[in-house]
Amino acid sequence: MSASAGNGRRIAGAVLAVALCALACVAFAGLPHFGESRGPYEQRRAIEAVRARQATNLDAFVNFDYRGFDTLGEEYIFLVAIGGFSLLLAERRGEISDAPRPPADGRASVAPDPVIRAFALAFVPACILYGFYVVLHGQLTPGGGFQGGVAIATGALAAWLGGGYRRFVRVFPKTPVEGFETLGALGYVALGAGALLAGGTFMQNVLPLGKAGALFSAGTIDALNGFVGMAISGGFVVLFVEFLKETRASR
Amino acid sequence: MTIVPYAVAAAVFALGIYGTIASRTLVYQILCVSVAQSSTYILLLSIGFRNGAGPPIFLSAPASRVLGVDPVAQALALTDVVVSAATTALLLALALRVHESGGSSEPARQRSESGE
Repeated sequence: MSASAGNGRRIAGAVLAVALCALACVAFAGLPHFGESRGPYEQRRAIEAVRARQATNLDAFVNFDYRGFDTLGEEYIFLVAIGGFSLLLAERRGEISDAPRPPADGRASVAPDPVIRAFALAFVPACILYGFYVVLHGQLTPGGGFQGGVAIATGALAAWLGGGYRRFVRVFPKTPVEGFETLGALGYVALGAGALLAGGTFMQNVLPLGKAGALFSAGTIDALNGFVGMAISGGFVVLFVEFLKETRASR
Repeated sequence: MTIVPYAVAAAVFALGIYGTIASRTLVYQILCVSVAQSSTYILLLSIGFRNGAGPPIFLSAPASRVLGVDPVAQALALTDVVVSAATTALLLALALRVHESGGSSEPARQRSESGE
């Protein structure tokens, strides 16, 4: 508590930070020089992506085809973290129903400014539409399920900005949002397991590949992007709602 | 100059670690953990970068030497960002619980177990 204890900790922290920085520099010295990395498979991978999978965005090809199984794990890390977060907050509030509550004591209920409302009215649909665009074009151009999902959720949050809490939960009710999130999580696994039924291995790209550059192409890469987009956008909206509930009366 | 990006990654990481140790309240500590974690983005993208290379997007199969930055490093950084957002939210929820049960968001000022 005393100032001297705080200073001691700060000095120890500074010494540790400098030591870690030095260690990291020693470790990084063994990396290829900046701008000169040469992966042995680079050209092979690019040819494979376009010819064998009809995907033009190599990032999506790596994430959802080569590393499809790893991305499954990453999606679930996200969902489990959101689940744990929701449980912690809901249990803390002792919550039994999802009915909207009045603002907590000491928190003014401010009506949004007309300018902000007008902005939100235009921004919400545009941003959500753009999010879906980014998700659906994941195999073609920069973007995909993760980025597009966050864009969709951003549009949803703008609805709170322009309409306030009550309108927000009316437009994005909890059950459908969580259903959207769950469907994204299940769909990813189902598509991976579906490849087993089709006679392939788990997460194998078994859907029709289409033609590189088309909206629906690259087989499972496109579909998996869609499922990840659903899970991520649903998860982030749940995150917003749970944080917003913290500003409301507890009972 | 080839060392600069790696040095920046190491410095950001060290700053985040220092902040985690030196901050008094949990919210600052969580922000510092995020800072330390964001050094991984710099490191990953620095490893994947290639001089004169464009984005790893090819409309047709490249016939000759490929000139695109490494998509594997980019793919890793991408999932890193999303997971970081979710874990930060989880840590903040834990901090709320700590504040509730201990009466303070400063670890040094928690109420003791004996109910003092």
